[in-house]
Amino acid sequence: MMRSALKATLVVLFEAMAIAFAIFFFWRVQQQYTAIAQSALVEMQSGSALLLLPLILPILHLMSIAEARFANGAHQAKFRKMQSRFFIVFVVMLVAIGFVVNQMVFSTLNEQGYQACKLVVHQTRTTFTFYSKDLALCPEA
Amino acid sequence: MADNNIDISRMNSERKELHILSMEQFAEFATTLSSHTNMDNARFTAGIASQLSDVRLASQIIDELGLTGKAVIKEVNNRSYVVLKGYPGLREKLTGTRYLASNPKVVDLAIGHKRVGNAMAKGARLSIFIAVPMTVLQFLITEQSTLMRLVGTIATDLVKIGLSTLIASGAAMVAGTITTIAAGPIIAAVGFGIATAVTLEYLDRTFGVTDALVNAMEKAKQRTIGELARQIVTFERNFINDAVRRMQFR
Repeated sequence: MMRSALKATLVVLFEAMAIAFAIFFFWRVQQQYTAIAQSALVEMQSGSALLLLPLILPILHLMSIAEARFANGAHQAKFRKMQSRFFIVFVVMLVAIGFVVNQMVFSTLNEQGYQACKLVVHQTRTTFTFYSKDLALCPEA
Repeated sequence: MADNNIDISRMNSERKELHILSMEQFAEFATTLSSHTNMDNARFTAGIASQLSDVRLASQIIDELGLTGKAVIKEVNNRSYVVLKGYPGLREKLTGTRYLASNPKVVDLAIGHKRVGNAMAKGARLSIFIAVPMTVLQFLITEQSTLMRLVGTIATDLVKIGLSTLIASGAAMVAGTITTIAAGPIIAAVGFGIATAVTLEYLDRTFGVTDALVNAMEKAKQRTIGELARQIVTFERNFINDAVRRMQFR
């Protein structure tokens, strides 16, 4: 009883975390658009396109619930085949959405005349690149 | 005699090389290294070593079982078995339908959330073993950096690597309980690991956690070792002044 309650809590916690990562991704994108509209200096972080990937967990959960509900009797084989295709589509879609949205921000940056500054801040697992309309405004090292 | 032989063979098998450089030689080495390599990129690559190893593991499972290949963990007589669904003839390594969870083939492919957790820990160790020496080397060849910055950077890096590994392992465990898709736990772990790493780096940059830690350590050093050094200097100065005064009176 205790174990299943703990499992359910962990599932809810991690799915909430996955949704939080997705919200964080879109919030960052919105923040970048606001910066493009209002500021001459925009900071871009590498790897943020992959923030949607944790959504695979709620998708896996939904798929397993659907399987338990609808995959019975004669429909089982057909349902499982369809589920396999859906899973592949979802994985590809999550990665693709992240990259497309990120690419949209980059193309807006280019359209607005932003250029990459020389200073790139390297952290252990990500890099931050500054974009500015006027290279004189670029931060120094 | 036999013991001596064992020791010599052990020493030979664990041979280490130590290179001692003069300051001039080291300066030359540092200049050559920084002009030929981008240490920031090298450190970044070292930092994502654990993610790269997770992705490699995921691709191995997908190669063997397919993206949606199913594996169920069953406990029979206190022994864990991995039961694989689908046609075994299509698989290259796992040609049976049921394996003990401790079977080397299953362990190698990290099927099941416990195995994924172990693989994550191995990946994190790999990241630490590569990223820490890279950070030390980068700080050695950078002119404007302090020992406290090196310690602070390594400390926050270790926390970030540890946290992302912990969350990735948790995600693998949760995925293992909600799905029978064999690649599910490792894909969830990769996704959560990367997302956590990116988020932690953003939080560190935004809130200046590493800088705050370095500043706190600098202040602590000033209050302890720095204060002690100042006291010693003051004592020495007073001692010399006293000695000079006594000499003058004579």
